[in-house]
Amino acid sequence: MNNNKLWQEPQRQSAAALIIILYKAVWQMLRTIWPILLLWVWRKSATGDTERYQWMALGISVLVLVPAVLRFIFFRFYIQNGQLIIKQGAINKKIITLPLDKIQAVHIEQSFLLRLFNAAKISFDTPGSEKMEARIDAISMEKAAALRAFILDQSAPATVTGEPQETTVPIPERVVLQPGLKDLLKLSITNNHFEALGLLFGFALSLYDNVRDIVSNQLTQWFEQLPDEMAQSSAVFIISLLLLLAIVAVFISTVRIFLQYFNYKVTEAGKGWKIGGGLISTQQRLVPFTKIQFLSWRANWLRKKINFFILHLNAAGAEDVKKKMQVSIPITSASILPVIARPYYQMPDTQLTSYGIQKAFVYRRILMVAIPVTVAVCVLLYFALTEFFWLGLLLLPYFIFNYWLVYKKFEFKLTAEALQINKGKFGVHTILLKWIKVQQVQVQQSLYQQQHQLATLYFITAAGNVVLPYITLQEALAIKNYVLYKVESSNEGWL
Amino acid sequence: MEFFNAVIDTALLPKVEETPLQPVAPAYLQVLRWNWRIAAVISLAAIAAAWYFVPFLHSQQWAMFLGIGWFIITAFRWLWVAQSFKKKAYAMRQHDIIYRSGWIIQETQVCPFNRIQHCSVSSGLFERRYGLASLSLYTAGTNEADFTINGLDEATAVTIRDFILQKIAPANNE
Repeated sequence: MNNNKLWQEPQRQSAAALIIILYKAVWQMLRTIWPILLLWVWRKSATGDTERYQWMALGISVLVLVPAVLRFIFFRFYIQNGQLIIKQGAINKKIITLPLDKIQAVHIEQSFLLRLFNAAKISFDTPGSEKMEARIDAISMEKAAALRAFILDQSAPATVTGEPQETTVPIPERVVLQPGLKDLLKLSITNNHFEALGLLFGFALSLYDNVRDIVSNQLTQWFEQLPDEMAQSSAVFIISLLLLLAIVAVFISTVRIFLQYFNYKVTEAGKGWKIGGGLISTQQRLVPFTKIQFLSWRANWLRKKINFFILHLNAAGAEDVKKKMQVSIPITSASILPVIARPYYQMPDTQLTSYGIQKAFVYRRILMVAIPVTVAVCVLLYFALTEFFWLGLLLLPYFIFNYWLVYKKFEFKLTAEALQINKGKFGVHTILLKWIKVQQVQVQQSLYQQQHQLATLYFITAAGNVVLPYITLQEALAIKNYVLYKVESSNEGWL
Repeated sequence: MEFFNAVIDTALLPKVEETPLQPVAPAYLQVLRWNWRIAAVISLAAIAAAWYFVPFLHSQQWAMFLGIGWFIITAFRWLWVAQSFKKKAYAMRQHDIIYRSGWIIQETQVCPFNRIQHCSVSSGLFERRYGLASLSLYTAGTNEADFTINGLDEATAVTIRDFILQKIAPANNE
């Protein structure tokens, strides 16, 4: 079974696949049209006029089931020249070509339905496969096992992924960060309390929404009259209320920080960072150095003053992997930041030239965002509050100040190996990207930018995008050409 | 161990902007036109249905307003299709592939071959009628990293795909 020839022949899925595909299609259809079904049942009992809904249900069934059957009929897979080829689709035909050496894992899954037919679903993990639907819904269990063995035999995951190789000499682990109680308290006090207030407000609203039908009318009336009552209340009452809210917000922030960072530890563990902690649920994560695509760290105005940062390790991978890998580390001393950033990249100590973005950024943002949004808000306010519609105009100075601040604070520095962007408005927001982590470069130009020799430059990495907006076209092209040279001439593992 | 650290003259680096780009197949304009026609008919039908079924819209004024709105958007889309088609072009260099697209916002994407994970060639109903196909290149990680060139001759799409697959094969990784 496990030979090359067998897999060179284009093969269909097993008959069980048709049942699986139909089952999925029907389930999907039921999930989509259940309101119509409900309406139909209700109408049937109320009026007896069911014909229209029957036709509708029939139409939707045909629209869902026919593509499902066509998917089964036109599906073929085979292996040719070291590539797994999956052909699918009747109207929109698609040929997926998956080099075997890029396949990192082959998953065999057996649901209850598949077990009944002694079949299995087989899917393939590659860095990017989550976008491809590269899977075989059902083949016999025997074939699935043989295909997996054949593919894994042909592929070499370690060299493909660029994962660090196992070393024979164990490297001792070293704790680089362990925030104490005092640090956690400082983190709590300097947290963004508006976020905590927002959470509290959202929670209160959803709670009220859930209980409004069961609580007494008196409470509901009080809640609904609260804004009017507040308007008539004395200044002392309002100040007391605001103070209470501030205390509650700080309390919520403290609880959140302790839940997340109690007993928190960052350890250098040979190939990567071992990160873990938490008060109730403890999480341990290992982030390999090579998986980190770019670093970013932030601090609000208060945290900037006491040299506290939150460092984000932006790691490569599919969404679920990224969720596990994306780690926010509280940096409680400026001296720790270089220690954690060093395995990724260390910016040189020498004075580097810093570049900024063009002033046109402010004018264009005002024209394209600030003015339309302000006008829209004014129109909405006119319908809601009539004579107070001008309150919306207050948005305009806010926008102008905000964009001006972005323009003034945005700076980027270039080295032969990396890019550093500093863009915090009042605090710190820094991004550090190594050129070899870039997997696509995009130069974007609106009509205005084309006329004024400006461009926005995107660096697309496996963990997200890094953007240089509104730089001169000349700068954008020079950086692009250099980055491509670096990426294309490098043999260093980037994933 | 010998160690070299040669100076790189960035002015001598190959320039993407100087690479002559090849326009996509002329027949692709017909595919775009067909898509435009279908979208125009469906949107007109949706507007007519809304006008017929929603009592609030039952007036001559609304009919005129919706009709003019539909006409302006549809006419703009016609113009957009023609203009954006003119901008679509691609080129392959030794180590990367370049794709330019967009009219109001023009984009030039460059993807090095050594960052491509796998490829797919697909063709819809209209594309097949004109012997065309789309080539999608997949890089790792985020969804934004996809790179699709529409409107290639089917044979060209397959040739480019095979060329890229050959380039990304481990034996050819320089």
